[in-house]
Amino acid sequence: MNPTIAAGRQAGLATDSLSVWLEQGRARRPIVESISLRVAPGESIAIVGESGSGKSVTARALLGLLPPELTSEGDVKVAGTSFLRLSEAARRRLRGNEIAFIMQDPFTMLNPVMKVGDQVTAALRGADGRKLSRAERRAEAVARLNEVGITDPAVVDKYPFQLSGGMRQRVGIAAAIAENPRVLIADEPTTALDVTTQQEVLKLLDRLRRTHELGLILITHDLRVAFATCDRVYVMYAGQIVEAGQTDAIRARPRHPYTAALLAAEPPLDHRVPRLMTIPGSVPSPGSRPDGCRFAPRCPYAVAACTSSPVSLRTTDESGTHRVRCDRADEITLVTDDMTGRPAAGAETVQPGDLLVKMRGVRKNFQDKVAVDGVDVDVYAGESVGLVGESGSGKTTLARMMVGLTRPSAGSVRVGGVELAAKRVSRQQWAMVRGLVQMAFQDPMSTLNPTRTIGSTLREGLRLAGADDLETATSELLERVGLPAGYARRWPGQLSGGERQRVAIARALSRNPRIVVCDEVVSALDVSVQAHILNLLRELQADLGLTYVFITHDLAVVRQITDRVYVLNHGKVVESGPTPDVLDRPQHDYTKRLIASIPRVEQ
Amino acid sequence: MTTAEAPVAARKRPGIPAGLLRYVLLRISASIVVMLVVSFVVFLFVHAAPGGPEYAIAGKLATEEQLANIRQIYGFDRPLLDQYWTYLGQLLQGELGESVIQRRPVAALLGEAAAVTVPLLVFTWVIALVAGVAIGVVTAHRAGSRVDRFALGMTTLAASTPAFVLGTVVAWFFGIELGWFPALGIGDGGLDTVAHLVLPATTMAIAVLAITTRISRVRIGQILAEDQALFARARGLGRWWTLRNVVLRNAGVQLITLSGTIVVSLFTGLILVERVFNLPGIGSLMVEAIHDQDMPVIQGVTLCAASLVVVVNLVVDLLCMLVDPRLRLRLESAR
Repeated sequence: MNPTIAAGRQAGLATDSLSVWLEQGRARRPIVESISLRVAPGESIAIVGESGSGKSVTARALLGLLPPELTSEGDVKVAGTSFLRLSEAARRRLRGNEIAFIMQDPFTMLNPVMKVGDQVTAALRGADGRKLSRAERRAEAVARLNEVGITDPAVVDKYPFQLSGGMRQRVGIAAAIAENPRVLIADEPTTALDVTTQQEVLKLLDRLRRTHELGLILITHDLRVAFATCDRVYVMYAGQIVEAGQTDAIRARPRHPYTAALLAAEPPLDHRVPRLMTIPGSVPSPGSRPDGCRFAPRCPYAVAACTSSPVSLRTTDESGTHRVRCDRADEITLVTDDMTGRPAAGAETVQPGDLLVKMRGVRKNFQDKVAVDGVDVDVYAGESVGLVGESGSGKTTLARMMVGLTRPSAGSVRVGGVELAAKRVSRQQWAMVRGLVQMAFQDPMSTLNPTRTIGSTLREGLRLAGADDLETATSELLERVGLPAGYARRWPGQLSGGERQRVAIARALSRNPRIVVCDEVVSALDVSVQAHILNLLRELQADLGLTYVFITHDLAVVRQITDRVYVLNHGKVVESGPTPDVLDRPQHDYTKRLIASIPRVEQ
Repeated sequence: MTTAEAPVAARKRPGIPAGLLRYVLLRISASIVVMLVVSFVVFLFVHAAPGGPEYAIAGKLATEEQLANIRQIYGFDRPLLDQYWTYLGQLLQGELGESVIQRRPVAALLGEAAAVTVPLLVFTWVIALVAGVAIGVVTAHRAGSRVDRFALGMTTLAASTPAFVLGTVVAWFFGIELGWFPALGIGDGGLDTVAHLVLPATTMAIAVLAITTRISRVRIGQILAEDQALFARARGLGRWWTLRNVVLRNAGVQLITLSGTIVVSLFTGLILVERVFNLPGIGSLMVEAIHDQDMPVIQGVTLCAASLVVVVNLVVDLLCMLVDPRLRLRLESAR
């Protein structure tokens, strides 16, 4: 270690008015503006925000690893040194050594063609600065993996693709902290993981924070995760910190309308609300951020004065730790979801209609792997059925068999009286099934053809459904999903994530189906956008009498949108029943574990 | 998935995993089959010659008596398969027949030509690959910069110039105008030969540089944009470490495939370049043999070219297996 740095070692990391600019020829646009934050060794802070808030750019700016088109201003102090003013070589010595970084996707973060052990020990050197011998490296790798809870020494010789997502994220953490840094920046470290794995990784980070005296900077879009893990929280919106303070203070009483709205948009796990709180509009892009308060155009409390001049971050409480960027913070009383009135805990009882889908003893094998293992599922007209499970539980395969996209290996799948597992399904029968069941997918970007306008995509389905006036029908369809009719002329690339998901739903509706199979349609969306889509789906169900099959891993979403639920694990249904019963009184161990894994905000 | 039980491949060090062994044996036997088919087609060349095989050997001016004599010596009156067996037996002993024009063994002619062509091929291959990857690395690191655009423009320009034009220009400028390197002939061996090879090798390398640069630039750019490259930098790992362990290791399969393709396409390009620089290599040998209808030589060169292609493809496939563990593991699970 560099002796000069060791001598001047100070606590953790602190930034002073850190800004990031996008350079486009002569023009420069602010991406992130005047971020001041600090983290002490052994402390954990969270930077919370939706996409477009600038939180990930902030993380990379802290490390001095911005992409070439972005430049930063201001200062980051790491171990008492002005990190950003150092030479690139000096910064490189500090990276990994003082300040470390782990990323969202454990599947892409590790080198796929290098053994796990070599990756963990890549940066390690002996006390004299020499390279370690092969035996030393191996011993070191085993020890480091042990620290992150991987006790099997054979993992050292494996390649990342041989490990599960949770294991890979552990390996990533072991590699990041191999040199015992003082600060760890974790950019959405659990977003790509299953709920149960997510909790394990968060616990691991928390343990390492204590044992290694790590200052932990957790970057997340999920307020629940932030509250459950961190001591202090910084909420970002459109490139600025809008609220900062102790977790308890913000959780108990958010002072910024945006924070309150985010909290309210979070679907509650323990009860069903008639309508989720939403935030109108969308996060402004860096070029079109409004003057004055950034949130004003979307804020229900905004007055004329809010838009006139920039708002500064001000201390609002006596202790001086809770800061808010809102001029009206003292005047307004924020409405959070608890005040919207709590309806009956159960869902409205649905009168079951005809049996539309009947699956009996359904199996699906992919080579020697069993994806779905003898499952019975019923879907009645007018109800909303949830299929819940983690990745690999077989829920998507099950849904695809219901739509006829995947052929079952064994068992019976009857959809509207047509046996889809039969050897031969006639053309007319397929047409009937397609008119009855439609599917909406998780990632609308990859399922919408980028070279066709929205209108042309929608007209395709409408034509098949036999609509007379395609133009009018397209406009009606767009309005039905809450988009202006003019969107028919737009391209998928011009829409935001939420808008694309609306189009995907519109496309599923274009054939006028009775059942819509929704495969994780809200899981890639920000909380506030997710609330919009969930509300939309409920309205559509009420207006059109739709039947939903809702595939998700998120139990809070299940609570809001489904009447009955099937819990899947390793291709088998382990528990099923009315949603309130299953969530409130889970019988099976696996369901109990799922529910217990959800990061909780104790009130 | 494969995560639950430890894969067999990782556990036992000694011995080759069954799937890999099967693949290697299968791949080698496939190559042998291809070579047999090629040898049969090459064998048929003689019979496809105008006027029949005896004309191909004796030439157009042979008398009826000579033709009968040849038929007897070569056994053209025997059944076709019978003749093929004899031919194959000779091939396996390295017996490629005798040149009709030069009255010397084809094997000896090929040997002399290969002594020119092989160094030229290797020389060119190394230049094209090393320079291509080096330019690829530099430009991928500075995508969109002036260096990047300049390299792209120059390689495209060079690639769209025909080899004989480029060769002539290079020979004239460096060979005659500047006089740095000899522009014609093969030299007297040793350093002199190396000096004689510089210009032809450079000419050919420039022609393929556009492909090697472009492909390595794109692939390396992809890898540098991946999370794993950022994660390596975030751990303070140096540029060279990243280049070696992240960039080159991940690009391994593409670079190996690319270098195989280049060897094969270079072999074709040799014919022109050897003519321009007047080198007595395999390309020249082939051109002359075709001109003289020297059938045994044509057969010999064709077999040589075919075995080069087959061997290069085999080596490429096996090397890819060596550098990418994912390919190896797929073999074990796909059974």
